Amino acid sequence: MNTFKASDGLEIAYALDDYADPWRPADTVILVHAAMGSSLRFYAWVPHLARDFRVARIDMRGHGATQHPGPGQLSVPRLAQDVVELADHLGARRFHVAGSSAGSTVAAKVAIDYPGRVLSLGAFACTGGIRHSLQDQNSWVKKIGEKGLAAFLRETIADRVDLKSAQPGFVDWFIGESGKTSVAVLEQFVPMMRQFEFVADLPRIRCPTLAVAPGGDPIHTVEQYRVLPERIPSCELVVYDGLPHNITDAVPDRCARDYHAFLLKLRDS
Amino acid sequence: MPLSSIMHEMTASDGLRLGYSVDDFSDPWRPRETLILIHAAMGSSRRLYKWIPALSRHFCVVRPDMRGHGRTEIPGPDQLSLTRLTKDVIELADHLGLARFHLAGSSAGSIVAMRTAIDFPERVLTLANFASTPGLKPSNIDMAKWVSGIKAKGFRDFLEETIEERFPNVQDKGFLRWFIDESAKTDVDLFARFGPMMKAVDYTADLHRIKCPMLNVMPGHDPLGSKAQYEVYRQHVPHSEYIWYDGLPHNITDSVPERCAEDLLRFLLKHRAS
Repeated sequence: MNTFKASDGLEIAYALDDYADPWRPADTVILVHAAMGSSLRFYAWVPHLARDFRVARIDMRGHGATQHPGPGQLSVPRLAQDVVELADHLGARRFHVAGSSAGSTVAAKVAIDYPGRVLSLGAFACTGGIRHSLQDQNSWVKKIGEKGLAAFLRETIADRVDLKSAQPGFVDWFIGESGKTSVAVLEQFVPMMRQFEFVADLPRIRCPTLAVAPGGDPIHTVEQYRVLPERIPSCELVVYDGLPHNITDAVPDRCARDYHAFLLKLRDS
Repeated sequence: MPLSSIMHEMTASDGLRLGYSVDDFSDPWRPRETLILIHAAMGSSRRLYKWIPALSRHFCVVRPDMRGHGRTEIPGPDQLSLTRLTKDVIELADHLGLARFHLAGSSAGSIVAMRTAIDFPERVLTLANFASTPGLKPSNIDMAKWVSGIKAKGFRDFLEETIEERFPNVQDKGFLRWFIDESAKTDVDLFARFGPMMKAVDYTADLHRIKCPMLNVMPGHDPLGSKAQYEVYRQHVPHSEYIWYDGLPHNITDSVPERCAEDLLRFLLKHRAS
């Protein structure tokens, strides 16, 4: 892991993977993980992308090897600013950004607030905010406080992963990784995400966008995912039929292949 | 743009510092299998970066810099031999806690890999040989001419003059420039020891001791080694597999790296230990 200092002094960790030909310019892709866990959750994406692109994976504030934010140091605009400051740190004037679930909210916020910087947006399991989702995420926080994060995840795993097709060992690993997250951080992070809505801002996303949605998600309806192609001027939607919420963890190779094809089409057009 | 792999270091039993990189995007909940991949003479493990995306999703890929190359120190007068190079492979595996591992090499790196498989059969799960005879004695390489050319002109000019012979199949000028830049980092005096050492080697008689699955990926049109010279494994390692790259000259691992990596991946998946 590498680190840089954000403009408010917090130390931010990121992984950088680059197997692109050193003699040609390669665009930078920044991946933003979902709530809980860290950039590690994107490990399977890297080999698909990093032969053609320089791939940076950020650990969001309070997650992975990044420091925990102090009072007043956690907001969606601040998380988006971290992404842009990482791009600055990497010397990437313009970059592609993609995120998963809560990370896709951050990625979309980057595309909304910094249109001059973003080449394209990859929005995986992204709605225009989670306030109207089928579950109350604030009740998650209460349960996590009572039972612990790992027990909460184990009880609700079928909302996230299709257990019939999941590979043996994957679920335990996923719970182990996600379960490392600080409950104190989640107690701030989840309500912040819950009240953050950006449906009205979606038309301001000017870059080409790929939206990939789970088709069998107990947390959001497919209609909620459709607001992206409805409101973003240049957005294609791909629905993975039958899969619950965590497509980026459960079918990472499929996600990365679709995202890679989208990026190559942009690069070569 | 820089390549990203982070270099690690270890100390060999004779005190030399050895550099190596590790790239691993395999599923963490499965039994991990490791591939040690050894570069050719000149340059370093960086020459193999294009192989990593294909292989590292399934295997932990470890690329050592051979003695005198890349980030590994230049060996002293008594610190360079084929035996010592094979010991470095085993000591690297020990350092990483690997009882058994897959092993592959390109050209001179394959001479090291094959010798390791002969001498340490209990450690090597599978062996992949890219473009090499068993030692350079049975090859057509005129090492004395190479060494005198490099000593007279320096690495860069020697490479500039011979680059078209190496890569008649490559049009990408950026790649050719990069190949020369990387290879020209090699220490001239080190090469003047390394090349002739390899040229003195012929272990054809020991090949029958290779018992693990073996893949030979061979250039079909190589002035440095004829088809007959490269077919020696058919006789001595009858269970070994062959893939010929018709029409291609020696440096297949640089000129068609992704094809090499995909063929290696297929072979490795077929022979996975777990």
